[in-house]
Amino acid sequence: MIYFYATYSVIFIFIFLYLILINKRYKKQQKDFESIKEMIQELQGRS
Amino acid sequence: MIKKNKHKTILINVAGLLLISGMLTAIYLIFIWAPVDRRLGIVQKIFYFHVASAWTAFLAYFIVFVLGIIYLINRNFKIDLLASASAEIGILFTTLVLITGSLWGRSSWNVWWTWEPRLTTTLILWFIYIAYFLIRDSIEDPEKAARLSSVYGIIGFIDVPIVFMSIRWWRSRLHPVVFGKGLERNRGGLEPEMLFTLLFSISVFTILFMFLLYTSYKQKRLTAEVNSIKENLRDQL
Repeated sequence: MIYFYATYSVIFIFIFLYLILINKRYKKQQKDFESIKEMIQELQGRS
Repeated sequence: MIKKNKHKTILINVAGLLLISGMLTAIYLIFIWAPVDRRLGIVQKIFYFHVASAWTAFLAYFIVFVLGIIYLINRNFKIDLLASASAEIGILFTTLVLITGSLWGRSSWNVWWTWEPRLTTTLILWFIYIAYFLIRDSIEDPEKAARLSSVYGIIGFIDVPIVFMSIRWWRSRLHPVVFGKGLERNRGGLEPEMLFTLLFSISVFTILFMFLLYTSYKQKRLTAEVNSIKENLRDQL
């Protein structure tokens, strides 16, 4: 019985972990966008 | 453009709803509707999501294989990103197959692992696609990385039919033949309710795969675009 429940728990935990990983990567991109904005502002300041 | 995006959003929402309702129905079918196996008991029900995970992994690797060929023909970078997203999901589901298979093995055969043909070839498959990402990450030139990983994805796919046929070729004593001549051999085969639940679970996992592929691809494309803009800006600074 325990193996049956463990199987279904593991499957859903792994799928959620993968979704969390994708979300984390999105957040990293948001940070990258911020740094791009700063770079553009720097460029505009120079010109 | 706005209309196109609106259609896309509607399509994603519909797919999301279909996925959630499908998953809940699959759980109902497995936990309540499908009959309990007389010999193995409730543990047999592990099999529905175990086989569905294996199917999804095979589908993911098949897509890597097809996209690898397409990339080598047209050298479209987006195709390569889609292939890498598919390979990533393939690894996720192969990991699930190995873990759930191990749980199945412990409850049915009393061992966590055994060097049986299907288990061994599945483990090899898992290593093949881990190596796929090692190759991608170890090459700095994106064009070269895409080209090599496409070739590797095509060659690596050879193991998928081997995994599928392994129990037929090497006559495994532990894995029953579920499809094909399972009933005739009197070692596999399924009751109609069990077969319906299995096919339903496979369909839901296929939708889940498409959803994950879309999400992962979108994220990978954004990363590639952000990196390219950053590189251009660095050159200008």
